[in-house]
Amino acid sequence: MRHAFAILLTLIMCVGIQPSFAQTNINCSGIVVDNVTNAPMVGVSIMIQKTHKVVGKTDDQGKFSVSVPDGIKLVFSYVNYANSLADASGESMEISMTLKDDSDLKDVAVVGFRKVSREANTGASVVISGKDLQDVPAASVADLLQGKVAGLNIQNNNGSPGARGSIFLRGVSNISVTGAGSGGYLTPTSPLFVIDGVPVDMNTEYEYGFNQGGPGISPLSLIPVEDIEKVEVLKDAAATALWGSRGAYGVILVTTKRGKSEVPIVAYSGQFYYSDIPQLRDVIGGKEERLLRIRQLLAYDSSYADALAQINSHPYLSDSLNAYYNNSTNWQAVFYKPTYNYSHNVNISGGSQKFNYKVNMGIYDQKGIIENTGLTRYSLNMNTRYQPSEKFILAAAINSGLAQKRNGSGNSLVQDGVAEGTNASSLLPAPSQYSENNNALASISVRDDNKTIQIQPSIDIQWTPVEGLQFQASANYNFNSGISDNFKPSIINDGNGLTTSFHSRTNALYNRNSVNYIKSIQKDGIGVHNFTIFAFNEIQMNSYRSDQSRLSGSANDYLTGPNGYNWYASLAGTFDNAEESRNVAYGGAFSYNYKLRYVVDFQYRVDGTSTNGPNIGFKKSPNISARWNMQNEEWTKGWRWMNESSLRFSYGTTLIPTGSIFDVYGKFNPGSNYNGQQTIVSDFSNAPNVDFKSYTNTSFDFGYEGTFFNNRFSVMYDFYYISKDNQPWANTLANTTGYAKITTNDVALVSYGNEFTVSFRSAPSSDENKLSWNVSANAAVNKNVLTKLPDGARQIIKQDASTDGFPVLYRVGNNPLQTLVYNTVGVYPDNSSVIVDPLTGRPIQVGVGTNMFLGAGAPRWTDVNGDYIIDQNDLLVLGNPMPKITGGFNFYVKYKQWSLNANVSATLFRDVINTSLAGKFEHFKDPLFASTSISKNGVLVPIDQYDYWKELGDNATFPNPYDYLNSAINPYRYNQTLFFEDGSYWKLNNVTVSYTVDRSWSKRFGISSARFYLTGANLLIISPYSGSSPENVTDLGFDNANGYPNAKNYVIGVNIQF
Amino acid sequence: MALGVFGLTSCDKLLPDERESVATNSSFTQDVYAPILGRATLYNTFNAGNSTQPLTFKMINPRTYTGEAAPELTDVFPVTVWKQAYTGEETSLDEINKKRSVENHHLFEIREHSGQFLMWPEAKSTFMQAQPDSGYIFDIEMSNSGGRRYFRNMRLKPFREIPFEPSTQDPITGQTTSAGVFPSRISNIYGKHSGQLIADIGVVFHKVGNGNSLTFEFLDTLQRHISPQKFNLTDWAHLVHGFNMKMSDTAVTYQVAYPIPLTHVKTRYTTSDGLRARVVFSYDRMGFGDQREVAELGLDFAIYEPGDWQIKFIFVDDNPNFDDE
Repeated sequence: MRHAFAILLTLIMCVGIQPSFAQTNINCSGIVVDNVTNAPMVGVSIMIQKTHKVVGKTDDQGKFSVSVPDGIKLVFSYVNYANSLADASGESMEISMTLKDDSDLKDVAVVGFRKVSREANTGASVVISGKDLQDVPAASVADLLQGKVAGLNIQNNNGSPGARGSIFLRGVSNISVTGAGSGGYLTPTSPLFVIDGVPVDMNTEYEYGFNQGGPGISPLSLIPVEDIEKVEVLKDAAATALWGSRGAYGVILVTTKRGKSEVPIVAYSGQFYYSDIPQLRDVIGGKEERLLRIRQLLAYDSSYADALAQINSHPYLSDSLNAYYNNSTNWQAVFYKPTYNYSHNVNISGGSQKFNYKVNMGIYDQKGIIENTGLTRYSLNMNTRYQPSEKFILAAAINSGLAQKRNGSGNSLVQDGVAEGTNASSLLPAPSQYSENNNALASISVRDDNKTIQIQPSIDIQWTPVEGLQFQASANYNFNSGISDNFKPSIINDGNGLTTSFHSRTNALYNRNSVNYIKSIQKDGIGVHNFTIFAFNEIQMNSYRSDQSRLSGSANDYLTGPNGYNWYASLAGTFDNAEESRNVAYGGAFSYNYKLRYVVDFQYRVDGTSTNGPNIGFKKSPNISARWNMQNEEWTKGWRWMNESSLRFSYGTTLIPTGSIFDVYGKFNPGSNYNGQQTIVSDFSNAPNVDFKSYTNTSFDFGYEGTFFNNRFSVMYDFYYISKDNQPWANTLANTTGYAKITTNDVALVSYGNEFTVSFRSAPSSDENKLSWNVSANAAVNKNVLTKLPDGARQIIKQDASTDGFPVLYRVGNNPLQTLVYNTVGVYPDNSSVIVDPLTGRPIQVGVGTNMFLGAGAPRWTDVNGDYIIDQNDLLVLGNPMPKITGGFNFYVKYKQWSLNANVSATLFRDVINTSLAGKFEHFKDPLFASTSISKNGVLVPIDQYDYWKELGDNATFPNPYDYLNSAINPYRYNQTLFFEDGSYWKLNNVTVSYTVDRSWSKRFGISSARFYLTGANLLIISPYSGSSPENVTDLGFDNANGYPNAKNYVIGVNIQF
Repeated sequence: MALGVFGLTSCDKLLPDERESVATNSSFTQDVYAPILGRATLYNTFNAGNSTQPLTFKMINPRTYTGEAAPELTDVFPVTVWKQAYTGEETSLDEINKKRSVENHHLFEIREHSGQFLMWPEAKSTFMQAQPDSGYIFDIEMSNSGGRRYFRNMRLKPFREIPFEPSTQDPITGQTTSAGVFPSRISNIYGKHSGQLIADIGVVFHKVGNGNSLTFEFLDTLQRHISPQKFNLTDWAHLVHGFNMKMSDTAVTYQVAYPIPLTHVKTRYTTSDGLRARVVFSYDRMGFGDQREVAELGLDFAIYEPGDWQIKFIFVDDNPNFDDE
């Protein structure tokens, strides 16, 4: 081969000498820089456009000097950058190259574990460049993807630093609900995140943080956003196939930066930002609060005399001269405060193709807008790549992070303490050790230390013994340790200082070995028949365990150990969600394309997992996909207006293990002592199911991608249809079986929809001072239909103790989750308008056998079944909490050194229950605090702007909030149409204005590029919703009144590169 | 775009239709219904389970236990229904009666959408087969747009009327098993002769005519009338929800609306659960050691059959002492 090449070269030289005399050669020299950062680009290859002959490369300072014939054009090309074209000239040239953004389709995509060119990629995936994300402060990259990818629905419904919102890729994936109503949560089904090849399961990690102790730090918040090179969202089965054993909820690949430049680059990026509190509610303070309560008692107590007696016996009403009750405390100001925050990140990178390295160090400190909350993260990410010969590559990386979170008195998700605290009466004095408001004290004086340490080492080896044949081995390990120490001083915990320590460990080991063979049958230098054969095996091991100890009654508030005097209330143990699981998989792929016109992929994998029943064995997942690139057809060569146009389709299956090993094999517990021997007894709460399966995602995707008019207009469309089968469901068993429940896989749903992405841009120009712009929009229309319930049931109303009052309806053929509500048709103007049971003469009553009747000023709820009783039989299905349409706009304009970038996201057509509005009225229901306390529910909120019932004959919208003696009918229950609102919103995620310093000027100070920017994040929400924020809503559609509001951030940022 | 619309519509065809559910776990918690005739009785025994509400219920083929036709269940009868809520604050019989009117109903029916069974008070043992007879059998059809289900061979075994409570009557035979009942509440009543607290007081209900009145009488050990005025602390105006009180030396009489109480709603005339009327007769006297003692005699009762009713309190062993010590 090598000899043949040498002979050929000699021949060419002999033949080629003659014509080269005819032209005069000129010396071209200059520098190649990045369009955005102005950094010199190393290793850019320089080609003569006509002959495709490579004439040189830029050196380690980005400079080049080549000798080429006069009058020709030179092409400068570099991986991930758009080619630049320039006329060869004798003068010094400055070539700027632009990094391709995601709208440019001719990119390199990672599908499965293989890198393929966009044209050969048969799957649906979207790439987001890290540059598009880095101007906005956020602990987690997931927050920043909102509105950027069609079909990826991200709701940042939790503003707590370091926690994350909910992520849905292509619709709802699981219908199981924990908790109830406004405190209910859909089982999280976040896509699998793969960070530099290390799979990180977001769903299980997250679960632990929210319903138990635990630091509640999302593993994704341990990755500094500044270090992200790109994020790739894999949507369909063809794209996710090789991550298929855990890819059923979709896969998001996060790639961190690598060293590229032979000159070491030191890049600093810093952000300083001001987090502002969102608009807080108005409250009634001081004397007006007291008078309002007194007026309420006088008007609505059973008698005037009793009202006077009550007022006189409650000092907060009568003793207005008492300093303890004579205040007007603004409790919201005690808890909510704007904060100043920062992040610093230094990235050191360099190297060549043969050896490169990167070290990224970062510190991120965000103080939450709620007192005593926040997140501090220290991160250190390193990677290196060695290529001793062209046939061998070794890449090693360690990503590590340490995050410390302060949760205040809440947990990572809800701030119950603060919610209670801000509901304290304004009459109470500001927090001190002697005041009544323990929540206020708790959230400020609790010593709370939550740490998560994550270390992810990984190693990759590639060996190419002969051309076309490649062996690859990669192994990585993910260690995550969460520690949560919490101390409650005795003064706020009934005299017992309480120390709680939580410790969790997650270990995940992943190994994959593969062999890849590429064969191309060439004709005229072009690959005509191209084959790829790929085979792999894969092993994953995961384990998780968490322990907690609780020491009650410490000696004092400073000595919190070793033993408390209250030892009988001190507990320690391991949580019952300890887990250890294994996945084994092997499989292969075969890919064929004809001149990149017709691409066909077959992928096949076989998975075994320890949470599958023994009768199920290995699960086989086939996958077929194809692509037709019209631009490579002969007959489209003349279509100058079209750059690319391709159709693709895919069909296949992916999995994710669900349930636990106990669902499969049952459980034994230690029993009582028998004859001095410890017994082991069967746990009858859950029957074993030897046929337990993994969750299966079978998807069909049809897509079109096209770019037109010199890449100025591009469009991408996908239609998908996904059947999500084998979801676990705990079925109640008849007591004759001996067991209480069995978990089966009898729930299925289907999601289908359309995704559109369109982008327009200005004409490409090499003049960087010219106005350039780019507008892109994406939208996804999604529909979810429940298709199967256990035992062939058409409908199940989930109504256990935890969902009391807020049942969830599952009905086959409709949305998977539906909200059941009472239909409110105004308010009864007087008693006689309430209809009467003709048999008993009783007006409509609330609940069976309660003797609570509706009367004047009570809501007129529809009695659906006509039994003159308002109860759960009268609930109607009226809402769908899942948005029908999600999408976003991105806008970018650049003129000279200035650029403006804006991002808008939209969530449209969904129903939200405005619990905060209901809460406003509810505060009036207990003026004497019979069932609650003045420090937890004493706040009064002005309601004058609402049309509520005031006197007999009023046709009002809202029921009478003051009639506290009849408050047992619960007129302000959340689940009624009165509080049903359209939760659509448009959100201006961020606006960034940036200025890039002129390179020739900054160079004098040794700065190769400098950029300053101002960002406003989460600035504006446009919504018909009347509550505080339509985004701070649970997945089940309840406005989360105890939630953590999202801050508005104003950022000054700087990027400097040396 | 057109493709997308096509995709959306064609997918719907592949998916199961949304249909209302008729579930196997919908049930009546009770198969045998044994209401007491002559009273309004309401049964809340349906449990919808996983069925989609509202459901439609129909009673089919009511028949006697031997399978013969039962016209008393299939025919409609005029019954008194409430049109407006009874509050206990009505000021005349007319006002009460205006709140009621007459409609035609099946005497034993199932509410169309709720599955509640009701027995109207106009059902009487004169034409209904009351226990010890085996009664009736009927089927219930439950349906919604998703399908239908039948509950077969449900039983109706009514008891004969019990005109007042507390009752002296055997529920099955209708025979009186005791002469009278006892007051619900006796306190601080001292005997005239013994000087001790007395407890042996009987209560007897008598129906003396078909009017709409209620009379209270008090009889001493020799069956002589005690004047009601001796109960000087009694709130006569609000003793029962009655009008035109006429008090004589022998009795106190009210014009009332039947049944008593009119509904199961708590009013000032009823017990706290609203199920019975409550009367309290009271007087005070200077007791032993010059201490004021308030005596009370109370009765919680219900009368279901309209008529001129007398309630007699009979002091059996000793007469009450109304005089100061």
